[in-house]
Parts: sequence; structure tokens; C-alpha cells
Amino acid sequence: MPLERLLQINMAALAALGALLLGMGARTQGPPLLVIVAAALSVWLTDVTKRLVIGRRLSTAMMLVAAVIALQQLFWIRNELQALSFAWLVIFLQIVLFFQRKDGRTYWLLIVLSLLQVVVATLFSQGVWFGLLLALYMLLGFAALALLLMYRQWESFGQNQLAEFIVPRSDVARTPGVAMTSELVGYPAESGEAAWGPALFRRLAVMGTQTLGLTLVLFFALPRLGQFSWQGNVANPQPVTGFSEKVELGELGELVESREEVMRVRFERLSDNSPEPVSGDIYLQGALLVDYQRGQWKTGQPTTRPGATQLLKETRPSVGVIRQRITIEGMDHDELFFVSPYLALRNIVGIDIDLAHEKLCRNPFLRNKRFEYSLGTTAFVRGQQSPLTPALEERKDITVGVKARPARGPGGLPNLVALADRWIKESRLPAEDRVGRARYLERKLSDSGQFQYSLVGQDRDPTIDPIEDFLTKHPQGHCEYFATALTLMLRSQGIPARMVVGYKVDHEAWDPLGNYYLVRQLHAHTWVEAYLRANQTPDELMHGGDHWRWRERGAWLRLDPTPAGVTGERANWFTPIRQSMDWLNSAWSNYFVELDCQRQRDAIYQPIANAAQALWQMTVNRCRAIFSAASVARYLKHLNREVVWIVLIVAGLLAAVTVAAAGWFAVWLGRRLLARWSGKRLPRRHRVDIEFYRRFESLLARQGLVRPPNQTQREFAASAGARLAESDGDGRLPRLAEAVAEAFYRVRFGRLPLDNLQAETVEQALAEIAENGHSSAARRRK
Amino acid sequence: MHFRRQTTICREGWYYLAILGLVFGGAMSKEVNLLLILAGMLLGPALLNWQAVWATLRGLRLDRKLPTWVGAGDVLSVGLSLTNGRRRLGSWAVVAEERIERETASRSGQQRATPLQPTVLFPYVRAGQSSTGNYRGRLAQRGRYRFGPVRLSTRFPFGLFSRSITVGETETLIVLPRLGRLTQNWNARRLEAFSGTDRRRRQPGPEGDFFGVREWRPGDGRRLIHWRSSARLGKLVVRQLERPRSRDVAIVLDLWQPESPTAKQLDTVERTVSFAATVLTDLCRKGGSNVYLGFDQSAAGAADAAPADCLGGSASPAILQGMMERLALAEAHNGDGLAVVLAAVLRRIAPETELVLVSTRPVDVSDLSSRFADARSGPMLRELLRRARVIDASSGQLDEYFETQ
Repeated sequence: MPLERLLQINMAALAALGALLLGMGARTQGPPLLVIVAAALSVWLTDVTKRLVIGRRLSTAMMLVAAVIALQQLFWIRNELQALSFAWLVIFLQIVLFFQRKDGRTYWLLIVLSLLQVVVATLFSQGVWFGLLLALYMLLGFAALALLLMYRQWESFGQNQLAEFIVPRSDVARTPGVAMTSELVGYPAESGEAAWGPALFRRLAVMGTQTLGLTLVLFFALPRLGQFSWQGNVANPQPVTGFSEKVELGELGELVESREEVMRVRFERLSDNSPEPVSGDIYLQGALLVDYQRGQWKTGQPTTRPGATQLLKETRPSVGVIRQRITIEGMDHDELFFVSPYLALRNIVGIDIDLAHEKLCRNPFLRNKRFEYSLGTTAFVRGQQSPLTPALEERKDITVGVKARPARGPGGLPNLVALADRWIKESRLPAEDRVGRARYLERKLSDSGQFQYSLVGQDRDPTIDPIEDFLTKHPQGHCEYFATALTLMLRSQGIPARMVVGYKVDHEAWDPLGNYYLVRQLHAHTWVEAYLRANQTPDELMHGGDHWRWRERGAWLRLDPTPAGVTGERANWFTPIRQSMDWLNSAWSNYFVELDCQRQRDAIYQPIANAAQALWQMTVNRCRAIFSAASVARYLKHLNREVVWIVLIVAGLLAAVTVAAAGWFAVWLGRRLLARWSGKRLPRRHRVDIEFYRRFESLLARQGLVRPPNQTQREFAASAGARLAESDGDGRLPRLAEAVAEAFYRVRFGRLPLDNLQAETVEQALAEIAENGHSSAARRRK
Repeated sequence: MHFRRQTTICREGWYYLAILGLVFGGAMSKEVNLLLILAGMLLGPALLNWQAVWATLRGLRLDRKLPTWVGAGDVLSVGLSLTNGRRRLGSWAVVAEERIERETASRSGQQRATPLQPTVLFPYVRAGQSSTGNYRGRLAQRGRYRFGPVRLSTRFPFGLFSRSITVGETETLIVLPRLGRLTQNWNARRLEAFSGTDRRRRQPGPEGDFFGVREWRPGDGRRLIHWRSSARLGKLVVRQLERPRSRDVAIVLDLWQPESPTAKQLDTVERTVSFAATVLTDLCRKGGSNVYLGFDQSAAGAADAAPADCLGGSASPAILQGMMERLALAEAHNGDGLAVVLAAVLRRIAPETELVLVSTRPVDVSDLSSRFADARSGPMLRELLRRARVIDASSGQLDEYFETQ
């Protein structure tokens, strides 16, 4: 393939990949798609067929301005979205550039623009695919730079092939000499096909591997100075269901199969921040849904407490508190998630409590950003999350919404109420046993086998309420249907209840590398909380001591009517791959994206230090064992006194020689490195490596004149010249020898090259000395 | 022989390092780990390029193939062969930059000419193999050219750093004067001179007319040696039995130019040398005569020549080559060595030899007999000087006899 075509294709791929990397960070497909299409079209329309070629002066100026501004943004940037807007500008310029007639400079600009896009892409939250594609991008970049170099050089020489002789014969004839200039044109040595063949790409692949190794070493070894690493930003936040004013039944189902990461939850001991082992299902509460109307939940107020307040540090119970440290991605809503009940362990800036809706919200300006917050909780009893949550409000403050009984008649939910009645009747539990009745209804929904969990959308009868349809006609649905049914059934039986939207994770979401639960969109879940009066609250489920005022305010009992084992992911042939990718994602996230000072110390420095220390200790111990005073003394005791002295002297000499050798080696290495750095060849101490002087000595040696080691070159030249003049009667020979010696000193010690005249003089002198040698030899033969 | 190595950062390399610095600075100041990874990936090529330019030029050997001789303005093709002595690593994108300098210009004190620097690209030289490239063109001026040493450079693989080493031996090439065309005037004058002397009577003899004796030259048969005269004179002389069909010619050049010559004066000198070269080539091509060349060589680059010497002999390719090389190195100067040159030439040539003096001196040199009357007072010499043809090149007289092709 011609070099330029190869370069064009490589450049198009590089630009497309750069835009794709940016698109991954920005969570948008438009610009990458645009660049890919533009790159492909430009190869065909501009590079191959040359049907579409646009001017370039204006766009070149724009590109330079954009590059300067974009680079400047790296330091002055306050919001990554600003950088994103510049990245879009860069993409625009890149597309313009694609449709220009390209030369070496154009290709170079394309590379720079693509690199700028990747720089911006690194500012966003990126997964492991980013890392893998970045490595591929690097290899493509290597190829682009190498091909560009070849192209530039080949172009400059390739033009010579067109001009057979750039000095026309007519110009040569015009005048015999002075006015005309000489011209010589070089040609490439051979066809360059071999130069950009497989050998080049093998070499680049090796370099790519070396660069990756270097990058890893640099990345892990370079000490992080700050406490926290850049967490990245989210350009287009994730949509989260259940947090709008109205939530339609069935809406959640669209997201439950998404593997998009939502948050990470760590549970830690307060004393030393070490991981607190927990097990079982973890429910992370988000929003409370209270008002139901014909298949639609409204986020009504569960309590009558108005307003919002900042999350301030509160007195915590003396026992049973652990820290829940949650890192949440950028979302399209402000709601935060937590294991209920929560405690503020310190004053937290950026989080407000919505008292009316009993939820935590982050400040809107933090919405798009990855955000970390820590709360305490007493919910875990013996490592399991308790189903009981203390009521935070007085009983009188609970709104009527959670108590609203569904109507039995037309327009209401007659079938639901009838079914609830029937099941309660079946249970034969007294009305005072709220826990028993609630659990019974929960079991009937989840375990009776009458209702099936399904993520497939169902055809509901539009003439009746969707929940009536679920209970009577199409008993398939996802967690929202089960939770809605139970909530309304509980209310029909006079038990206040509310629906909770949040996330539920189990051991499958546990990330052993990072020691956290990785919560994804597919873990979105709804469940039910039933209100228990103080006297109905089981003692064995209480936690946190008197801090929560169980006896005064009562509690909310968590009920999960969704059939067990059907939430989360279902295993299939793709599961092993998915698990591997999860592991990679986790490693990438923990040891690359979020590597900070602490983690670097724990994961990198400490193990290396420990290993080095162990190695040192082992060496010392081994040496001690071998050279301990006792063993040496034991050995020496067997020897005569004289022998002991000899051994000691020899050992001392050996040590001195070793030290001297080490010193010499250090000096030698230093000189060598210095010479390598400065690009000058060091003079060799014992060997004169100046070619013309070597010839001079060898010429004289043939005439029986050899320089003794104690004679300098100048002295030798003087004595040899005198002897030659004496034997041959030629008075010029001493001067010739001196001239050679002077030239030698100039080159050898003055480090000055010989100019033309001097070189010529030396050559003449050598020629005459040689001729003199020949004639002397001839005379001797006669 | 390797010497003078140099590693520099290319323009693109500076841009690249600036970007790398910004990326690294941004990564460290903002603690952006992904940016740090990118910085590492950018640092890799910089370091590897530095290492690669070292490795690429290691173990390379360059050989040059020069032609034996070339005429000024003729096509010159020089082959360069680059051998990669390494066993495993190939060499990519090696540029060989030759340095060609005209030595004669620098020696004469003229303004030093800018060296020619043709370059040859070796896109790829496999490990243990050689690759051959060449450069072609024309050298406009006669003289001795020094070729080399060659500067090998590479920017492989990323073009961020450039390294160059100087390798190879220096070689010299003598570029002969450019040849022109003799006009009809010249031929007519030659014919006139020839027929004018042909009327002289000759003595018949069994092996041809006895003409006289002359000095022995290589190629003369032993039978022709005139032993008696040789014994008397102390050197070998031979009988000249028959006069040559065409007259012997001695070209004497008076290459003068002022301290700071104008372009026209330089051009006149070159034309004069070209004329001499053309005449000599013409005579040697025809053969059958003796040709001589004399000029003041005190400023010329020929090491083995006396300041005033006369080359010459029986017209042959060998004698032509020698004279062309002398002419190639002929240098004009502002001294007056004409008397010495003439003396050397007159010592060498026979009385019947046609003497052609071409001078670039703008003064009148036509009256040679009066000028050299004191030095050479013999009647034969005076006759020779009287018959000498003087061409004043500075006044454009040369155009009557000579034109460039």
C-alpha cells in the first residue's frame, strides 16, 4: 500500500479513536460518530478521489487558536464541561482539516488535535474500556508519528524522482562556469515499501510494549502529593428513576438491566476505618413514595415537617455505629442513598436533609460530579441489616398519605382490597399483630407462586388500574408491582405503609479488591415500609439503643414482596466474561483512576518496602551466619598466628582492591555517560586513534623508526625527521614530520578538526615521507 | 572513522515536549490519574525516540563510489552504499548528507564557495545488509573537489529527536574543464600556419627526409638514436627523419585576474581554460603532433608541479589526461609569471612549434619579441616569438576561435 494512503487511513483511525475516547467520557455518541463518518468520507472524497477539497488558511489559524486555548484550559479549568466545549471545537476543526489537501503539517495538526481530545477525555469519569482503548490509541499514535516521518522524508526525496536533473543542459551551456551553480540531487536508496512493511510495525509494537511498561512504572512510582485523586466528572449524568414528581409503574423496568455504575458503598469501623464485614442483602434508601393514583406514584410528603436543613453532626449512640462511605456518580437528580437509619458523624457541607420527604440531597452544583459522603448507621446487627428503621417523626406528624386506604368500590381497587381481606382472613392473625399480618401479605406475594417476577413489559388492561390488572389478570411484573400491591394491601388493612425506591445489593455486588459494594443501575429496587407503633415494635429488631426513641415514635418495618433471587443479574454464557470485566473494572477503578496517596502507600510502597526489608533482613542474617565473629574466630582459632596475619592482610588487600575497582568503575562509568551525553568521544589513554598519525608512525616504522613509550609525539617527530634528513640528505623531511606532529596535537589535544589546507598539508607530508621511504628502500636494494 | 556526533531536538520535538510538559503538569497539579497515564504514554515515545536515534546509527558503514573523472557540466552520478553491520536491528529513515567542497577555490584566496550537500535517503537498511542510493547532477566548475565526510542522520521513529554522526573517508575528484567548440576561424588559422611553413625544403633520404635531431622521448625506437650527438650532448637524442604532418602546438596560458575579480573576469579565465582544454583535446584526438601546455602554476593546487612547468609530448590520451588535470586545477592570480612560463615552454619546444599564447591580462602582450629580447636573444627564439599567436581573451578575441556548446 502506498505510504500516504497508509498514513491517511492510520490518521483517520487515530482521529476516530480519539473522538471515541472523548465520547466515552462525555457519554455521547454524536461527535464520535461524526468524526468517524468524516474521517471515512475524507479518505474517500478528499484523499482518494479528490472530489471535495476545501481551503485551509482560515481553518489553520482557527486550529492554532483553539489549541492554545484548549491547552491553557488544563490549568485554569474550573469545570470540565468548559473543556468539553473546547473539545467539541477541536472536533469541529479536525473535521475541517480532514477535508483539506493534506501535507506533513496537516497530519501533524491532526495528531495534535486528536491528542487534545484525549486530554479532555481523561478529565471525565472513565471505565476500564477507556484504558484499553487508550493503549490502542497509543499504538495508533506511534504508527501515525512514524508514518508521518517516513512520509515527510519520502516526499522531499520523492520530488527528486520527478526532476531528472534540475540543472537544464541549456543552463550548463550558457557559460562555462562561474555564473552557473552546481547542483546535485539525491535519490532514495530503494523503493520504500519495505520501510513501512511488517518490520516497522513489529518495531513499533515493541516500542509500544516498552512504553506501556514505562507508563506503569511511572504511574505507580510517582508519589501522589494530594489526599484525593481526581474523581472525574460526568458530562451527561445518568438518569435515575423514581425521583421525578410522578413515577409510572413499569418505568423502573427500563433500567434494571443496565450495568451502569451508580455508587460504591463501603462499610467501615469508626475506630480505625477498617472494613466492617456485612452480609445479606443491603437496602439503600433513596426516595419515599406515598401517594398512589391509578398506576402513578407521587412523591408526596410522608411527614408534615416542613423545609430542609443542613446535615449537622449529631450525638451518636455509644454502640453499634459503623460508617457507610458512599461514592456516588453524577446523576440527573439530587437524591442521595443511604442505609437507613443514618447518623451525621460530622457536619457535611453539600448535603441537605429534605425533612418533608425524609431524604438526603446533594447541592445541585455537585450533581454532575462524582461525590463521596460518609454517614453513620446502626442498621447492622451481627453483620446483617436490620429490617427495622426507627421512625424519625412523631406519630402525629405522619401524613395521611401513608394511611390512605384504597377504595373498595368502582374507581377504587376492589380486587386488591378483596384479596388483602381474603389473605388476612386466611392468616387468622389478630389486628394488633401488625408485623405478623404484614409479613403474611409479603409472603403471599413473594412465595405463593401466584405472581411471577418479569422484566418484560406486560399488556395491561387500560380500563382498570394497573395494579388491579397485575393482581387479577396478568400476574407478572417487576418489583414496583409487588411493592405497590403490598403497600396498598397494607393500607387497606389499616397499616400505614409507604413505598421506598432505592437500590438493593447482595454478595454478588461485593468488590473484594476495593472492599466495597458496587451498585449498578440493575440493582435498582423498590420495597415497602410498614409503620409500627411503639408497642408493636419487636424488641429483638431494635438497634442503636435509646438513641432512636423506639418507645416514643415507633418504627418502619421493611418488607420486600418481590420474589427472592430474581433481582440482579441472571447467569448466562456471558457471565464469566462479565465477571472478568467487572474485575478489570474494579482493578482499573481502584488502582488507576482512584489511586491516591493512601492507596499508593498501601498497595505499592508498603509491599515493596516490606519485600525490600525482608530481603535485606535475609541477607543480613545470612551474612551474619557466615561472617559472625564467633564463626570467624572459630575458624581462625585453628590457624597459626602467622597464617592468621596472612589471612587478615589478604582480606584487607582484597577489600582495598574491591574499593579501588569500584571507584575506578564509577569514574569510568561517569566519563562514559558524560561523553555519551555530550556526544564527544573521549580520548583513549593508551591508544592514539588519529588515523593520519597512525599512518605517520607506520610509515616511519617501515623505515625502522619506532616511537619509544617515553617519547612524546613531538619529540619523536623531531628525532625521526632529523634521522631521515641525515640519511637521505633531504632537508625538508624534519619540517614535514613536524607538520604532521603539529596537526596531531591540534586534533588530539586541541580537539580541533583540520581544515582543508591543513589536511592537504598533512597528506602531502605523508606522501613525501612515503615516497622517501620507497626511494630509500630502492637504494638499499641496489 | 566516526567522529562528531550530535543529538538535537527537532522542531516537532519541542512542540511535543511542550505538550508533554503541559499534560504532566496538569496531571500532577490536579491529581488526574488518567492524565498521568497519558503523560506516561507521551513520555515513552520521547525517551524511545532518543534511544532509537542512537541505536539506528550504530554499526553503520558508508561507502562511496566515485567516477574516475568527470567534466565540468557533465552528468555526475555518485553511488552511496550504506551497510548495516548490526545483526538484528534494522535502520530506518537514515539520511546521508554528502559534503562536497571545491578545494581550489579556497586555496586561491577567493571567496570560499558554499559546499554542496546532496542528500540520499535510505528508507530501510535491513540488519546485516546493504542498501545503495545515489545522487546525480552536474558540477559546474572545474577543480579538485573533496567528497566527504558524510553526515548520517536519522529522526526515526517519531521525528522528535535527530541524531547525526559523521562517517566515511574523504575522497577527491578532479573535475576537468568544460569543452567547447573551435570555430572555423581557428581551423583556418591553423591551416594557414601549417601551409606557411610547409614550403620549406627538406632533404630526401632513404627512410624519409632528415630534419634534424631532437631529444629522446618515450616511444622512440632505438634505431633512431643519434649516438654521436647523444655522446656529445650527454643525453639521448634521436634523428628526426620526417617532419610531422601537422605542426606541434604549444599553448601558453597567462591566467591573470585582479585581487578582487569581477564576474566577467572570472568568466574570462574559465573560458580561457576551456579554450585550452578544447584545443588540446582536438589535437590529441587527431594525433600525429606534439602538444605542450604551459601556464603559471604558482597558485594552482597541483602539489607535484613546479611554479612554471611545461607539460607536453606526443599527442595521446595519456598526455591529454595529464594536461586536462593540470588545467582543471589552474588558478588565475594577479602576479606576472608569464616570462618564467615562456622560458620554461621555450626550453621544451622545437623551433617550428606553433606557439599560442592566450592571455586574460588586459594590457598589450602582443609584442613578445621586444618583451623577451633581453632574456632570449637567440635568432631562432626571436623568430618563434615573432610568429607566436597571441589571443587577448580579456577583449573578447577568444570568441573568434571558440564557442561553448
